[in-house]
Amino acid sequence: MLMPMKWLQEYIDLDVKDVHAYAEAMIRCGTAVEAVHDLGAEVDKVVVGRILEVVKHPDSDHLSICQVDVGGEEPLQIVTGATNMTAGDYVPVALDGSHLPGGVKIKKGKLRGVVSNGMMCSGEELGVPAEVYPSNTDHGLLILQGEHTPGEDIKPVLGLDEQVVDFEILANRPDCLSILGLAHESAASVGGRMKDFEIKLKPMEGSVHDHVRIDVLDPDLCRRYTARVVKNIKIEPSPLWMRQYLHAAGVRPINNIVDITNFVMLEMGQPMHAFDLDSVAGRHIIVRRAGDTKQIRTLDGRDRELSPEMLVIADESGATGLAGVMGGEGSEITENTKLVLFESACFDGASIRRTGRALGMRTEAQARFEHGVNVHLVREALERAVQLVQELGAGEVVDGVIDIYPNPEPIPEVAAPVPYVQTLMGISVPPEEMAALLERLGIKTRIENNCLYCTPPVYRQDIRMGADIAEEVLRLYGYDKIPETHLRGSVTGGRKSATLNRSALLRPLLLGFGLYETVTYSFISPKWWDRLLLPEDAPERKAARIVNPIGEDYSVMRTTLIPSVLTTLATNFNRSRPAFGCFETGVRFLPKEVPLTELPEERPSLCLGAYGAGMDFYKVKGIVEAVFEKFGVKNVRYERSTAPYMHPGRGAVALADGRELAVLGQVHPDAAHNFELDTDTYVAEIDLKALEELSHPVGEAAAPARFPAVQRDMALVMEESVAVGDLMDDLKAAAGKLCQEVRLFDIYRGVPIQPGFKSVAVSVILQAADRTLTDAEIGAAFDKCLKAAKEKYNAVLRS
Amino acid sequence: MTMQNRLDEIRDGLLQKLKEATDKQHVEQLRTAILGRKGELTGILRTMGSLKPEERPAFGQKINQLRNELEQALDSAARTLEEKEKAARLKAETLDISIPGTRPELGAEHPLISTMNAIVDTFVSMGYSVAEGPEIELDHYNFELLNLPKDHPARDAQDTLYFSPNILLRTHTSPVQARTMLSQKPPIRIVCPGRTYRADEVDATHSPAFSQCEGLVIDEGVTMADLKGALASFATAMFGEDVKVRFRPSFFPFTEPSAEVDVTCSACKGKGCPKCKGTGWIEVLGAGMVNPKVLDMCGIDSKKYTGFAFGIGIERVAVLKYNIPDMRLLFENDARFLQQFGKGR
Repeated sequence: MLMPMKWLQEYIDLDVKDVHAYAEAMIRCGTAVEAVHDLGAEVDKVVVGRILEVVKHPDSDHLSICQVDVGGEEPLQIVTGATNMTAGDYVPVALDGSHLPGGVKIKKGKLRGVVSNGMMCSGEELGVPAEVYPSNTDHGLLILQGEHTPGEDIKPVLGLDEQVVDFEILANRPDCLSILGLAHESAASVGGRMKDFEIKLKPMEGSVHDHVRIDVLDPDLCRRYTARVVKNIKIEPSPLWMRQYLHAAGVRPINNIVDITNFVMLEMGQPMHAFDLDSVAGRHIIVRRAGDTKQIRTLDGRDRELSPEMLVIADESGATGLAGVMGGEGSEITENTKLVLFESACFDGASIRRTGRALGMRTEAQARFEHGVNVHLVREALERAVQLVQELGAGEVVDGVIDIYPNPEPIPEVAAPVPYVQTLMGISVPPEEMAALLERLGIKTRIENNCLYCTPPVYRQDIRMGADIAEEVLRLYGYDKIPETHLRGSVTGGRKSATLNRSALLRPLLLGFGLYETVTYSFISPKWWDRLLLPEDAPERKAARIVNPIGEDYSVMRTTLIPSVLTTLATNFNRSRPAFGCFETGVRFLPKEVPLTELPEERPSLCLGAYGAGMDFYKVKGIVEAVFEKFGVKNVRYERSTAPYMHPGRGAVALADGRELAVLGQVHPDAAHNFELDTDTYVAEIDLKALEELSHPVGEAAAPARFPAVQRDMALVMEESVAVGDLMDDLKAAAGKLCQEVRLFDIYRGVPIQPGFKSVAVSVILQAADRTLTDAEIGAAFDKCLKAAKEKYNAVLRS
Repeated sequence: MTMQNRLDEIRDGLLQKLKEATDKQHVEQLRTAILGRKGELTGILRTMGSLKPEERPAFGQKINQLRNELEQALDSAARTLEEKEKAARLKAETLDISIPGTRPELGAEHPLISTMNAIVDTFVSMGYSVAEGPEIELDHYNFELLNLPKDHPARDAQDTLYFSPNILLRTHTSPVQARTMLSQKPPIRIVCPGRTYRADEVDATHSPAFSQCEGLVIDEGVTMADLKGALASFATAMFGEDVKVRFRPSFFPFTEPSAEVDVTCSACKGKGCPKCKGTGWIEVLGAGMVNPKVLDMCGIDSKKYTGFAFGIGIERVAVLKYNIPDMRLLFENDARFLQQFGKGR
């Protein structure tokens, strides 16, 4: 909301010496300021000049030499290329050493040998558009209207001495989307006395009912509709002061009637609309839902597709405009308009918002209705508009008002118990002081039984409960005066969540393995499914899709973290990092059906990945095993993975207790290539929910055995196809209870082992808790191992 | 030559040779040569049989005396040489201690997660528990229970990503607060950390996915001063002991009164600088007293209980804490950026 300071001062006696100090005071009381603009900040040493004489330049066809009175003893000689001036004109003169917008500096010099002591300016050069300050032509010098004193500063003449505060108005304060509202707020926050703002109309003739009939068929979407008629309209530019205010507030002046509607909207916050009543069929305005009407053309010349629930303004020929959003092209004000209907209404904000959104429209009026127009001030704004019509001589206001307001709304009294307000604030401000602060805001307060009974002013619709009163008191009392205290009362024990406790175990472990912790977006590109070589019916593709994503690349919720980790690896690989490993924890979004009809399962997941020298399948498997170990997961088995994005011979699935815990291994080279990873790449994704559920606590501790352990090594020769992990499990089972561990220490291929076979060397470690083992016991266990190896794998002791 | 002369000669000879000995082996050779089975002194002892019986005790005593003396000399020489050799060996083992150690490369913590953990730890130590909830949420929990009805303009401040008219990506972790209030009786003291989403374009200061840690306290007699105290504790834990907290009036649909919360600018310590646009303060979060409408909608008696809520943006805190120039760096995961966060507490 752009607020010109001079416009503000129309309504309040407030001496503002430093606009920045004023802005700071407003901020401290809760009205945020985005910026302060000084419209003439870039203009310096530009004055009014009166042209005394114009003669042709002797050496130029298009230059003229002017003698200009700028208030000095002698006139200034200025050479110009303009042609629209004559002696006696008043023009802006940029003196030697002056500044113009855009960082332009003016210095005296010579033009074709003739001295020129400055420059006479156009409106454009001063940043004053023609619709604010029209000149005698569209081009050339800005010829000032009326009489002026040569040498006076140009800024007040052209309204460039205006400072404009750009407020950021919060959603609960639509009243501050108006200069009057900001004046009230300034009076409360900064001080200053409100001037009388009384709307008085001169005597009028005729009757509004002779000119128009209005019916509101859907009062649920239109709480109040008021209208007045003005005849014998004379369309012309509005006066300079109005054009300057509008321009400073960021609105383009158009003509007197349109400018009045915009002026009232900015002044009082009430959007207004003016109809050319002669163009309204049957001079009958009907406010109703669109119903069967399919399409209308709005005054920006565009056809709009309607849906039945949208509120429209119709006449006897059908719908013509979108209520509260934009008027219809048919009844637009033109140069030939003679009879005008001013509309001031309170349309339902939610309905207006839905209509605007559906049509992709965003008008000033619409935004104001969405935030809530004050139903009490609808008629006052209408009266203000016609008062301005009278003041500007823009037409003859017809007597009578149409005011359709079927359910007048009272202004509620708000009860705020003093202890409640004091508790919320954390400060024991005495009730009398509270009442005095509220009075500054125009809130009438009486104190009864230690309770504040508050009646807010008509322009404040946001004060409806005790907490609102607390905020009003507090912001004027000063947020800075709130002390810092600590919670009292019952003590609660702080507990972390399972997620955070898990993370506390995982992070140091994974960081110790050299993996970097990473964070990526949870929404990904659906193209990534193709890159992972997933077939059309792959379960991973059943992903929740955002209907309004910020882009296709961020449009589906990931069902696996693997592509995210591959992307992170690729970022580093493509920035020439020779080796890199990372991990990310997050959730996989697993919908029961798509599109979503209910919330999907969010399954916590840990994904890690790495590439580069020293990384191989067994390193990744080792990290995964370490994670399992840390969580006390027991009896993990590994099966070959059939995931399409895994290397067919180097991918595994880890299972425990019949549940899938993790997928791990080398990424399929084609998939890696699709992610721009032309290097051996390894990933693992661990299901943290399964991990949690299969985890075990450390449990009871046992003392280490005091009797010596015995190690027996054996080298077994077997066919290449034997899975060594399975063999080791079987050896351990065969060796019986005494066996503490079967440890692999070598796999050998080559002479003298025949091709297709391998020699696997393991140590079998035996130990009893209560005795030293005898040779007989050791021998028996060893023999059982050999027997099992022979029977199950046809493996024999290497000779 | 008398016997005595011979013994003196043996002793003097040995002592002289020991002085010249350079290694322990040499000492042992000397020991064998004199005291060994075929040694000189042993040889003399053997001649005792040829003496008269009355001469034998004195002779034996003399020999044994010398033997003890020589053994001590030999042991002493051996020990000295042994020490010398050890010293020489250790000297030879001297390493260049300036060469860097060998170790596996360590990973590094992500600053967002570290920041989040630090914030959570601060509040857990003050008795808050951690509550979590789904990232894909129902409109009901994300908006309606928080006093943001459908078609309310305040929803504009939170551009929302939708899956259907009623299912969306949560725009804050406040739905966790709503769920907690519905399922738990006061006193409530929770923090809700987690990922959140808004339809913001990616640039240096915006990200469509970000993280929050919101807090909620509900009990009898909870005040705005308690809120200020809690946030002051947070600010000093996060930004340092001398950091001050400032409240500015603001508006959020779910709190009333509401405040924007500023902390002392870390770059200028409150004096005013370009980083804080000359104000000396940096905006870090929004907070306020829970709107009684929200309490009532969530089944908590707003006449009996009051409460406060705050929402901390983790990216914002991390950016301020580490002076990160561009928020995109946080999601790019370039090891050269991340490794900085593994070097320091």
